[in-house]
Amino acid sequence: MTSNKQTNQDYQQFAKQRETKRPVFKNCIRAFLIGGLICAFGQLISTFYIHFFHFTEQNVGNPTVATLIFITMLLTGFGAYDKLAQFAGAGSAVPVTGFGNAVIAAAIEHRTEGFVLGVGGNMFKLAGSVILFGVFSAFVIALIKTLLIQWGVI
Amino acid sequence: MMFFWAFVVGGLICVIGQLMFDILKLTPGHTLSILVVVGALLDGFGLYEPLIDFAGAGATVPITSFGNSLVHGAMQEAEQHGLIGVVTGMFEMTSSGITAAIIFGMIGAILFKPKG
Amino acid sequence: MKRIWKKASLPALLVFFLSVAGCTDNEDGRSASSEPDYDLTQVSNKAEVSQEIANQAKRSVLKNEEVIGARGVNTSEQILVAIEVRQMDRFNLKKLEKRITSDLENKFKEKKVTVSTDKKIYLELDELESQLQTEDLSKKKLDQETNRIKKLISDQA
Repeated sequence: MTSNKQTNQDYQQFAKQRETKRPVFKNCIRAFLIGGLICAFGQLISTFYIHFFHFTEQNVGNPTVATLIFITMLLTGFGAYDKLAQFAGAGSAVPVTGFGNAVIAAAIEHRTEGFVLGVGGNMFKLAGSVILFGVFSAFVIALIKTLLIQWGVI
Repeated sequence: MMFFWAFVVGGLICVIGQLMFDILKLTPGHTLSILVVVGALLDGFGLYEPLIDFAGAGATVPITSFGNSLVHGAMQEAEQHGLIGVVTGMFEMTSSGITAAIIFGMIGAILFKPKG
Repeated sequence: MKRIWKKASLPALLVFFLSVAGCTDNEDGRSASSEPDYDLTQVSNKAEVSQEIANQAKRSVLKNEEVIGARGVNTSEQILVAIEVRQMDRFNLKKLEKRITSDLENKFKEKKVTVSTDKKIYLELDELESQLQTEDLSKKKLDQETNRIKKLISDQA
């Protein structure tokens, strides 16, 4: 893109033109609303667990995530999550429900190929990269940090 | 108050994801992978915990928290057992998300029929 | 399917929000502070173990402007305080917790001090306070309850 060579004013005009052509702004609003709602709903579940079960703010994340993924299973199974994703874009993909949806949708879709080769083999087809890069980067970062602490740098 | 900030912070993280979709033209797989790595990096610098304190589920529900809790579990174990803890503690705190996805994926596959 | 879900979810969400927000009064005879800025309760000394120290601790903690609410109990050996922190200061929650702990430790040198910012601990202490106020809680029972709540703080899973 040549936009970075243009002056600021030109760029703004340029951005405006593009905005009307591609609904980036509209997509962002939708992502913000749906993503925000999913997180607020997560907060609601957390508050519920804190008030009525023996979970503290520290460890309430785990049951909250599990509950959200359970709800995702139902929505995915009934085909509602697909429709939500069409509307919300990243708003439904970035929350952990999007991760759950990727796993569960793949599992349901490949069921006809059998449970071992179909469901088992394809479950992490989409979500696998998230786990791979999450784990590997976490490994590198934790390794570096641990070494730095041991050498007394930080 | 907590609901409001969970909404705003969670929404903003999703907007970042949307911008990566639309402007950088990344696939969902690339976007989510990058967000997880960013979450892990932020926790490496000790910046993700304050965000969780501030926004609650607004920071724990987006996928970035996956990277955060991977590093967090690894670091916690590393403090006790040294370098080997980095490997053994990795899934200490994240287990529930992946476990839930696997279990409910299996149950979903049993309960629901694929469309079309 | 989706339409029904959409229609029903908003009122349901609203009702839930309201019901969660609505349960904060205490009608058990603890004196609540008259200051509108913060949330302080004082347990009067009817209980077997005097709560004067906990009351003092709560008052001193609330002098920090970041703290907007405090609940706490003391046993013969220890003080357990939970604080509610102003939203914008929650970014520094861990630091604040440390600072307040050391403040209280300096103030009450003879007791073991634990400070928590966790909502759950706050709720548990609120309940324990109201038990102290309304019924005769034995020393042993108070120790037990305090230790149980303390265990929640360090509970990771």
